[in-house]
Amino acid sequence: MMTDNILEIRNLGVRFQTDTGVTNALNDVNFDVPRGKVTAIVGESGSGKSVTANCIMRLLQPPGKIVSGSIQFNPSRTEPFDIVAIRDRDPRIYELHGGLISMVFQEPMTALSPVHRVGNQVSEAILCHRDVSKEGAMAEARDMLRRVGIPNIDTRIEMYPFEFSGGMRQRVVIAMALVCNPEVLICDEPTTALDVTIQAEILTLIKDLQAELSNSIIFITHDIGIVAQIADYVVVMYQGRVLEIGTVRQVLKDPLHPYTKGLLAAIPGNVPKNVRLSTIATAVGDADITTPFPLKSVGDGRLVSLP
Amino acid sequence: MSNDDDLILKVRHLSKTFDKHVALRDVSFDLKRADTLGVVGESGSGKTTLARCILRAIDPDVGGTVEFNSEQIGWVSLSSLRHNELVPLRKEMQMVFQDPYSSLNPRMTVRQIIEEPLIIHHEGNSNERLERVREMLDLVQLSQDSLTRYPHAFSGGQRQRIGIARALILNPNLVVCDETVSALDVSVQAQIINLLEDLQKTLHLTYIFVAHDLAVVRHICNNVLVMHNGVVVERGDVDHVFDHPQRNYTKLLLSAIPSPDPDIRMDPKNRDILEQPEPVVNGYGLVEGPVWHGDHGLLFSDVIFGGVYAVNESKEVNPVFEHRRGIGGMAIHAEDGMVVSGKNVSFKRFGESESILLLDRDPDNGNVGYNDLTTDAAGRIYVGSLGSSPVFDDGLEPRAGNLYVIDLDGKSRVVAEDVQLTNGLGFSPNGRTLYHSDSRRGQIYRYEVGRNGDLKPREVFHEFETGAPDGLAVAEDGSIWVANAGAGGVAVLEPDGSQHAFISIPVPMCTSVCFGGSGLRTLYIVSGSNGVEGDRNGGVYRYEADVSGLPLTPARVQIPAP
Ligand SMILES: Nc1ncnc2c1ncn2[C@@H]1O[C@H](COP(=O)(O)OP(=O)(O)OP(=O)(O)O)[C@@H](O)[C@H]1O
Ligand SMILES: Nc1ncnc2c1ncn2[C@@H]1O[C@H](COP(=O)(O)OP(=O)(O)OP(=O)(O)O)[C@@H](O)[C@H]1O
Ligand SMILES: [Mg+2]
Ligand SMILES: [Mg+2]
Repeated sequence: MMTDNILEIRNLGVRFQTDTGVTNALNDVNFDVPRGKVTAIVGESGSGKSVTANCIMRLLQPPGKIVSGSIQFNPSRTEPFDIVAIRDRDPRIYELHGGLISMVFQEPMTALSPVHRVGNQVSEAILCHRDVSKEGAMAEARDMLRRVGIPNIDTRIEMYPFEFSGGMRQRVVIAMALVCNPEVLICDEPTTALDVTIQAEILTLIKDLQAELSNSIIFITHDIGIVAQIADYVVVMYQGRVLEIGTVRQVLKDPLHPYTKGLLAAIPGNVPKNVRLSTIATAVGDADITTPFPLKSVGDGRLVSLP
Repeated sequence: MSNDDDLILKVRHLSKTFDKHVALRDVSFDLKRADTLGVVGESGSGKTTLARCILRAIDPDVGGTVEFNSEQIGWVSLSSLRHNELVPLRKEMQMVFQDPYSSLNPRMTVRQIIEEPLIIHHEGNSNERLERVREMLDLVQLSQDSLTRYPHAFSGGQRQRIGIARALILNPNLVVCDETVSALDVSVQAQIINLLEDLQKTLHLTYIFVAHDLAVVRHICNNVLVMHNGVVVERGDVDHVFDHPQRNYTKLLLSAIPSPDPDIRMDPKNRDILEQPEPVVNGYGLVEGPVWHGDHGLLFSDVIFGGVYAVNESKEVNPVFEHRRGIGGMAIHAEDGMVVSGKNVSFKRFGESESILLLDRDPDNGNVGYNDLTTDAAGRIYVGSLGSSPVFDDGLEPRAGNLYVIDLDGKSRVVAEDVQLTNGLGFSPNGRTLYHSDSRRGQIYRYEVGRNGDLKPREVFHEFETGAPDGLAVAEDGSIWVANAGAGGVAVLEPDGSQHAFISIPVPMCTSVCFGGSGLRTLYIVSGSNGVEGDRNGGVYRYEADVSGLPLTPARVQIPAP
């Protein structure tokens, strides 16, 4: 039987050992990614969002090392497996990268080649992973580029990424990430480098595609506004730990953890004008947010790291 | 002016062109002391360019002015000072940058970084300077043992504090913050915003706060400028602008903000609302005299090849009547006809070919004909005469024209003189101001309207640096939409003379504008041919305006018996 969660992350620990010392980037991270939903991971810089994503993609680079835990992956196309446990040469890694999970990064040029035409790059992504003819791949590429809202496909596919605006490039990256119909799409701050108007277009695009293709999406951001608009579920991270998990309305409308409350109180858009912004430190006050209390269930499916 | 003392900055007609790219176009505003002015807009809209032009970090184009109310010497024109004369004033104006990483020299200690401006301005001896640096550290809440450390040893928020301490050590009055909190996490951002607000109160600072985060701007600013393509498209009280945006661009920008409340769904507007004017018809020599008629649609004339045409909203063109070339202005007349001006001013009933003379050439005044005309609320006609000019190649000495009014009884009189090349005419919404383009002088005049439609002596309302003002139309909100001949588009001016938008058409020869369509929300823009006389690529464009045009009263002047 398929479970309702496409990913189940348990007790994940990651450590970076460098000349200057040891960083415990992730400590006992636990959360589920429900199938066909958008799960947002939100937290400040350095809280471990990207490291978590890299673990799921098996992209964690030395000196980073997974020191504990498991990532149970329950795809519908193949047998479930633990992403942490499989060895580097395991063919399932190839399947993972070959279309089961795709990733969209903040800076679109990290995913695009500057010297190849856009149409070729997208069709190449199809050819790499699937057994189709060149013509078939190009036809699919055009179709996907049209779906992500690239205008004048005929001329655009002949162009190079530098001839595209930032928003257009990110659309191309999303098209490349989606051509293999991934079961999980991980978006790591995909709109942070974009103007707010372009960001709105990309968020709308991701939402519309998700409704149509019902992929499971992990959306990483530090912007509460984006979380509110795109997520079904929210995972709040702080210093490599998960502090709170719930539905978007539970977490944003009725936060339970003092840190989450502080985070929300620090957003200018949430505070009436002329009222001083509270910093997280003042909002948290005496509450203990550094002791790693295990997540406990507090009803309605909510989890929170409190004593 | 008496209330100038409250102001710290007066910016007028500031433009900046890089190579041929206009990064800033005719920006004007006043800034009150101790206010916080937000500047918002997308990447590339000209925010940083505006900030840098104000502080003279770069030189604005000739013609723009920045006046600064210096604490040392009172009002001074920053834009006309030489760079060495600016140095003493720089103490009063400082900038804090976006990137706390690259804006601090990594090889200098925190003490050296914060102290440097004092050294540049030869202030104090070493001990006094150290004392000031220590005070600044307290002010921005950094510990005293930071003095000997280097920037890399600080977090992003702490580095931003170092940048602020450095900017404030000279006791500036005006501080320009360019994306100062943009790169910071929310909790750090909140600390810096609070710090800036506290410092403003204690030090009586004036801020210009450049940011793309609209929620931050709303939180800390009283007033805001919204920029798009180098133009200030909207301005005013920040709450008012954000709650009641008037301009399409502001609406687009605000609709794109993701609300942190999951129950408030984002409904971003489509970028299409900013679209370029749409071509309606083409193939004329030089289109002029556009006027909207509820039944016929847009009426226009072809100055070069003659004829008056109507184009409806489905872009179908019908000839209205034949006419020799040279009709420069048209108005609707209440008696089911039109007033047209050319060699003379005459009335034509729809469906009839006869012209009835209303105002003949005026040889005593040396004029060679008439150009644009408009009507006032009573139905009088205002029309300008063309003096002789080299443009008309009539071999006469250049001579100015006049502005005439034709009263309801059909009698005419001169209401203003010395108009070099009369063009667009339009009344303000309350009817008390008449705007009038003089294309040769590149100016728009402003007349106060007295009793019986008389005009008081004029003043120059706006001066064009590029191209010439041609036909114009006024909108309900008082904005003046001026065809900018030669500059390829329509300049939108506020009643205070500042320009807040520029709508481009694909050809340089933009000749006139008028509002039409349902609710008078469509701006019709007409153009002349690009090339020589004889070309037929003048046409009509339309553009969805974000305001309604002022309805024009049909002329009611008496028609003489034929
Ligand atoms: N290559 C590395 N070497 C050493 N430490 C690292 C490395 N990559 C990440 N870390 C550490 O791991 C922790 C988590 O980093 P991560 O990149 O996941 O943060 P993040 O939440 O994605 O932050 P941001 O919002 O800035 O992207 C941080 O403390 C960081 O310093
Ligand atoms: N030194 C320069 N030389 C040439 N063009 C420039 C220069 N500086 C700015 N520009 C151009 O002027 C326009 C306005 O740039 P500006 O930096 O003022 O935008 P901005 O609104 O501050 O954008 P951002 O939000 O990205 O900082 C842009 O098209 C830019 O490319
Ligand atoms: Mg990251
Ligand atoms: Mg800028």
